Amino acid sequence: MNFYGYRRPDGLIGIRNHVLILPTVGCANETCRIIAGLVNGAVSFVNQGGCGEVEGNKKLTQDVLAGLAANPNVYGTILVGLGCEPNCVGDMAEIIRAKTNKPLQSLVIQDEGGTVNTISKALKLAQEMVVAASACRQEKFPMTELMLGIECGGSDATSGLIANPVMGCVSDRLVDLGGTTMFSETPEIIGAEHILARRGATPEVQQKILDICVKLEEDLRKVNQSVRSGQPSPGNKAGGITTLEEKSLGCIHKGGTKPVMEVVECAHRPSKKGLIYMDTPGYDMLSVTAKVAAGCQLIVFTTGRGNPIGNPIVPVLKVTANHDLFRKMNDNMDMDFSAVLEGDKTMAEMGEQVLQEIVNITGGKKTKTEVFGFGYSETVVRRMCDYI
Amino acid sequence: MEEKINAILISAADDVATSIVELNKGDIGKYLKNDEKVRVDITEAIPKFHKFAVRDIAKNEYVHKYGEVIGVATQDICKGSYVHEHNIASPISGTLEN
Repeated sequence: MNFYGYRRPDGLIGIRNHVLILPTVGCANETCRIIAGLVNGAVSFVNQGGCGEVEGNKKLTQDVLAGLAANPNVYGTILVGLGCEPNCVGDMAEIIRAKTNKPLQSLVIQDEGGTVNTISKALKLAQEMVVAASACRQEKFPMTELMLGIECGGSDATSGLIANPVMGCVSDRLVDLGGTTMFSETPEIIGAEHILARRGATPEVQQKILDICVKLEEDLRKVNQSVRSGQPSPGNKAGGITTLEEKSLGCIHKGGTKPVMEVVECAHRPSKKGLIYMDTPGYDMLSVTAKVAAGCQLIVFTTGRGNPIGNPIVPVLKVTANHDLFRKMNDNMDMDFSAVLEGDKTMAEMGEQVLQEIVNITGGKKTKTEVFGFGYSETVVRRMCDYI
Repeated sequence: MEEKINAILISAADDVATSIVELNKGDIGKYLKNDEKVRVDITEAIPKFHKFAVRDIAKNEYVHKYGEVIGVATQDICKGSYVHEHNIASPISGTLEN
């Protein structure tokens, strides 16, 4: 099995060919928005950070920004900074350079003399980059070069019952083909962490899975919150979920049944192939962003209640086993798994169909989120504490 | 005529299936196990998306779904009967020794 992609100079394979206009600080967001809006083939996103951050948050911002620039769906990046921010263009360029040798340009609004001068210069750079990007030709690559992110959000009873187990079949198949799948959302594994930990490929991975759960519970305790108390919620119970183990298994089943090869920090690229777990919060926009920053070329998002979010760099494929939702929010949903619920297809058969659709998308078929151009304001970076 | 299934068994090793319609006493639960259709006599009302036992489960036995332990039986559970909070509990926070 093969997929279609663009070979980047750093060796990674992209399935899209974007030029990224990257604000190194929030103060450059609007300038970047105008630049990307004027150049067909350029994308940008809202960066809430880059200034007023404690060192830990600055690092989290830099991990995501550099990861987005290094994502193989990006042909090249134009950094736009303000000039006085701690996350300056020079530092950001250096961090990106350490990850990738793809085309990179920088502009500083204070040095250029305002928005108009910056936009004028950026437009020329972006135009040249888009022309160069458009000269790239897609080739066929084995599935070993694909990293798929699996996300779930806006769940209902069909999510844990059908949509996530079907994605588990997809994950298992992709891993068997030598590819990589990544799942995350640590609050949702709590209750089944001992089960997931058993699937760790090494004692270190097993311990790491338990450790990240302990750390999350400690962090939440500091703000007087708990992921366990009151779980499963009365709504979950009314929906048929009896224990927290059952609820969490419904979430982690989207990762399939293969050994977890590595646990990576939020927005970090894995060093191994196969099934990867990333430690992220459950907030969908954040965990999608983090997986994209880690290098996932495509995200499959399971839902039961419906969800419209996208990402500026990667296609987000929305799947559901809730047929009523598929009809009701058809402009947001890409695939209907309800044939499994009807017994007309097995989970494995539906999984094959998803894998085929993934190949179609790599070849250029657009997801609904891409048709809307969603994602610009949906890039969210993890925070460890308040701004300063 | 091909009969439609009305329940889902996620893993072949599971002790419970999940109904996809409301089932009542006297109905027959039908689900696929390794691509084979299995029939279970339903002994009491099962709300949509709730679970019923696919085998007799003795008190203190583990109850499996997703091929993993989701709970422990707090009483004997007959095949075809409703499985929820009244007869299973979390193996960690449950009512057993631990």
